[in-house]
Amino acid sequence: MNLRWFVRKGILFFPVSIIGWIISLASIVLCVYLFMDIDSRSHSASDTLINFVFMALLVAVVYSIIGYFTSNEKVKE
Amino acid sequence: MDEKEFNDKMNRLRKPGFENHQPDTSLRLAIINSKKSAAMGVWFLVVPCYFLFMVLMKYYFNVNLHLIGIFEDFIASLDKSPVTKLIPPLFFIVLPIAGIVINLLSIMFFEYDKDRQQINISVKLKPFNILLVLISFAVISIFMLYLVIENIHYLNN
Repeated sequence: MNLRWFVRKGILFFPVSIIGWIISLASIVLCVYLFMDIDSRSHSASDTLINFVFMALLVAVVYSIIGYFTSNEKVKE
Repeated sequence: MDEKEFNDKMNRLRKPGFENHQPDTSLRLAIINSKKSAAMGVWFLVVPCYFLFMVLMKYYFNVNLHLIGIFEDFIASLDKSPVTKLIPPLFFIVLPIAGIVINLLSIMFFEYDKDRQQINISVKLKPFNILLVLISFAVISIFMLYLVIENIHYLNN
């Protein structure tokens, strides 16, 4: 499978195709939704941020896994 | 730079020679790109490290950031379905193991010596990949130790 949806720069994966952009935007929308959901149930600003960071990291890990398998990078050794 | 200076510089350049250069006896190719594996290893460690940091803050520094309580509620909600039940072990055990595997494969080279009937394994010293392997191993050890102790405690009761 020769997919090239993302390109890696450092530890981040940036979209380079339409599907990549759709996945990136979906991740951002999901993060915004999670923030609003957590904020509606939390008691303070720090409570919101701490829990949002945890959920955002979960989203970022899944996004990076997709980026890892769909960034066509050659082995340079 | 004038012409004389340029010519002197060109004359001082070291000419390539064949005298001391031995050709490589074998071509070693890594299975996975090491930089890409390191990037993925970082992401695989982010969630368990964040969780461990919160635990450390709560139980050693007595700073309760309320993540543990929320996390317990989150795990309890995931436990209700047999599919979502697999998510916590995936993030805390499986992904760090995957991090170890991809980072080791990116720095290890395997070569089969047919004459001597042996497999030569060599490891390229890439500090960042090795560090990620060690941290992943530590994280898995902590969670496995916790599971063992928790289950022993449960069995004793």
